[in-house]
Amino acid sequence: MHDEATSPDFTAPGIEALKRQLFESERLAAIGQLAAGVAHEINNPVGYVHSNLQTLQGYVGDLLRLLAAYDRVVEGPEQPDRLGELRALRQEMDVDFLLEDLQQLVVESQQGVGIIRDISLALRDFARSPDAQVKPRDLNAIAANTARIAYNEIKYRASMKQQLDCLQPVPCDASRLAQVVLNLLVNASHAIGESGRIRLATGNDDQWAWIEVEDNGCGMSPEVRQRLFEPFFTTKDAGKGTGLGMSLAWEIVADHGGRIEVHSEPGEGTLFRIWLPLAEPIGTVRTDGNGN
Amino acid sequence: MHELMVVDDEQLVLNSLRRTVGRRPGISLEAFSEPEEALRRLQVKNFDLIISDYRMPAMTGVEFLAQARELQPRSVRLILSGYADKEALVDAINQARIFRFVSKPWGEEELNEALEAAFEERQRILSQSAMVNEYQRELGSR
Ligand SMILES: Nc1ncnc2c1ncn2[C@@H]1O[C@H](COP(=O)(O)OP(=O)(O)OP(=O)(O)O)[C@@H](O)[C@H]1O
Ligand SMILES: [Mg+2]
Repeated sequence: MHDEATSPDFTAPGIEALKRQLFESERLAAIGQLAAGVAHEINNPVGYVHSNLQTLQGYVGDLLRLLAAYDRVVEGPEQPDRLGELRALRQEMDVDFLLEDLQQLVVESQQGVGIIRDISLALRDFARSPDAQVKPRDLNAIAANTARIAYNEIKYRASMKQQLDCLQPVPCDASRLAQVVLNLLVNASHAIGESGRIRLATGNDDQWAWIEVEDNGCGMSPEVRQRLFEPFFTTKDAGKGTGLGMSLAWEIVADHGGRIEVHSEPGEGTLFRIWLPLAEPIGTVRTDGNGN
Repeated sequence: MHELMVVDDEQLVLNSLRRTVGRRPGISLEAFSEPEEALRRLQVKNFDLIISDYRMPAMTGVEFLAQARELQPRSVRLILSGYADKEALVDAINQARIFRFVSKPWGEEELNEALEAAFEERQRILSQSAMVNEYQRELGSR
């Protein structure tokens, strides 16, 4: 059914390239959707680290001034009134507060820079060129990094539980797989509306690894579920969805020799389970996983 | 003493503002990471300026400031946020009647300038309502 939709019979030269372009633009759009959330999350630490550095400059200036005053006492001729000057200066600067806050300020700024660094590292999974080769990868890390990026968008409407228990490396293209997970998370978040729960889990058995994304959002009617994987099928307003997310997910998972399983109940929620073979995919076997 | 309230769900943003704005002479700053708690505080204490983040888990800064405005209509309200789509801005102006929108990451000068202007605005509002009061008294005594 979807095979016809995603891979038309005609094999005009360039159709593959066109498709790749389309999917690449969908990939960028998915990142774009998150840009506002990511920017928001980065702007906070950048804001306070920047502000803290300015404060630090003031603290260091004060301390240097104090040190210079000490030096004058130590190096100059002994004069009892100099000590009074020093005490007054210490008081004026509130040196005790300053010394205590100095350490706190550094710790908090390090924390802020740590957040920026984490986000930047997590973004790497997406930024990597999509044609990177298939390599054994840590599925949990891919899931966690993607969740880290999507969380900016999700946290205002849903709580997220993660159970990442895949113990085997999974041969995959990390960047493309991250995109699948991202789309599932964004879809789950959209399905939730005001407030709800999202569960992200991974696991494996002898032959397969899986990623689950479950939400307690609006769910899908049988009609929507039927058409879910069709390119450009969307129930969202223009600007919010292009309807390429799931067809792309299907394509990517199929390229990995895997399949997508869907369980959805209108008003109850949706569970997507992505199965990926632990052995390197030989061909691209497509299995219709549209079961309920 | 200028009374200033800051609300942001990120504690480290509050800490950095305590260090800068909060340590300035003539300013007393109270910081809240939860808007509900800030609203309870607004019921018992007057503030000249109320600054809020926009995106917070419990409610948006616009929702918070709109309620703050009902409690203290003569306060001057500002938003300090790294997130601003058009909708948020329109709501901030129409519903919460904010005076300024300062974007994150904020610069010291930009923030200072906004605060100066906000305190002036507060002064203007207070003297205006004092004038109105006086006028009404005059009318009443006739
Ligand atoms: N978790 C879900 N809960 C309910 N409906 C869903 C869920 N995931 C997908 N859908 C339905 O499937 C449709 C197609 O999803 P798909 O991800 O392909 O496109 P989209 O999210 O609309 O747009 P985008 O191209 O931005 O992803 C959605 O419009 C929605 O109706
Ligand atoms: Mg989608």
